[in-house]
Amino acid sequence: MSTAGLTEPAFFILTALVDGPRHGYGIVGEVDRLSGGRMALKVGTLYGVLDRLVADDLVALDREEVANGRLRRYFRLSERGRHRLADEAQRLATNARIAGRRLAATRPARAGGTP
Amino acid sequence: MTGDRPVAGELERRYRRVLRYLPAAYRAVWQEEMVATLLDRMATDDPERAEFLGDFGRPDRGEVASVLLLAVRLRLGGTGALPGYRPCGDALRLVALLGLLVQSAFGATVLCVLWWGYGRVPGLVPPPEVTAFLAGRGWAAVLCRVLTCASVPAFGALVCGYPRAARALAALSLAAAMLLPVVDRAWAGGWGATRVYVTAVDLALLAALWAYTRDAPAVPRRPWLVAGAAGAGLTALAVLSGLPGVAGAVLDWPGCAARRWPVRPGTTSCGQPAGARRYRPGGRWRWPRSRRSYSGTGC
Repeated sequence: MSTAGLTEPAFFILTALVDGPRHGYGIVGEVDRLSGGRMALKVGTLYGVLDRLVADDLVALDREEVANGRLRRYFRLSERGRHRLADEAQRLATNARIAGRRLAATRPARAGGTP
Repeated sequence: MTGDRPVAGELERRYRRVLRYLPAAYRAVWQEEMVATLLDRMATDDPERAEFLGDFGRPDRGEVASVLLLAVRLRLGGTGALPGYRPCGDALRLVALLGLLVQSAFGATVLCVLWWGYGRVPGLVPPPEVTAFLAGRGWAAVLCRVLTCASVPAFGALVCGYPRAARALAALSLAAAMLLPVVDRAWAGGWGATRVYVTAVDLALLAALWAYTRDAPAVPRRPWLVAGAAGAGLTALAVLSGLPGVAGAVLDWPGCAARRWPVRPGTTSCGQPAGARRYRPGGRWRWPRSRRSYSGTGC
């Protein structure tokens, strides 16, 4: 996880935890909102990714509560996770700038064909 | 579907049954949290609907599929697998890779024979048996046979780190192999017991390719590519040397005779019948030695 890029679900889960701890269903809802409905996290995906993020020390358990007779665990972003997310965001932004520059440079050539 | 009314009852039991597919060690840590999240997603503001869902609601198919995929990944995954399950996943990946290697070796051989049979190999006369065999086949049968050779790029894709592409190509190869008896019954021999068995093995190998999850360790590229090339070469050699008339078309029989190398009787280069006069270095014609008995297969 430390060398390869984050998967899209992992990226959104970390992003959802930036402004405070959330429980599982809270993360699902926040990811749905952040991605504009593009990413509907399934529970199997969420806990598969969360398990890895906790193991990699990018996410930590904040507290446990019982609501309606059920366990709710709240997760928070660790310092390491914050740095990792910042690095990934920087990497994606750099990639996007490169792609944007190239697209802008080739736009006039599209009419007459690229060399 | 969100709201304040929690859903429970039979639906909760159904979700717990689905979660039983997860390894026990994983469930011990995550099950209660997962159940809570699954039921939170079904919560509604309408109390009657909450009660109805609790009694008669069915687990969401997408959620069930995601849980099943997680169960597979935890057991067969690479770095993401639970401790104790990693050797099982590694063994399955090795079986899948070896199986695909064998399939790709045969696929490469079939491609070679077809290419040669259609006279596309410069300097080599197509073996008459293969040419005659291909002459009676429609394009659909030939195309189907070519598609079975998708196992060749499938092996390459797997070794180069593209398991999804490998799975798609392997599935295409298998589908073509299953279609072949329908398209050309005489060629494929129909659906006998052997074909059913081979197809079952191929299906199992295709399923085993799913052990190449995202966190599976990378396949060492160079040794497996060498193994693939060697396997294809050896298989082609074994198959071609057993094909009637092929050895005669490949070998330089006059040259072999001049050097007193052993040759196989009854076959000649360029499709000439055994016993025809041949040119011998030095400008003299002689009868080939093929009338004698030889045991070798060529140079």
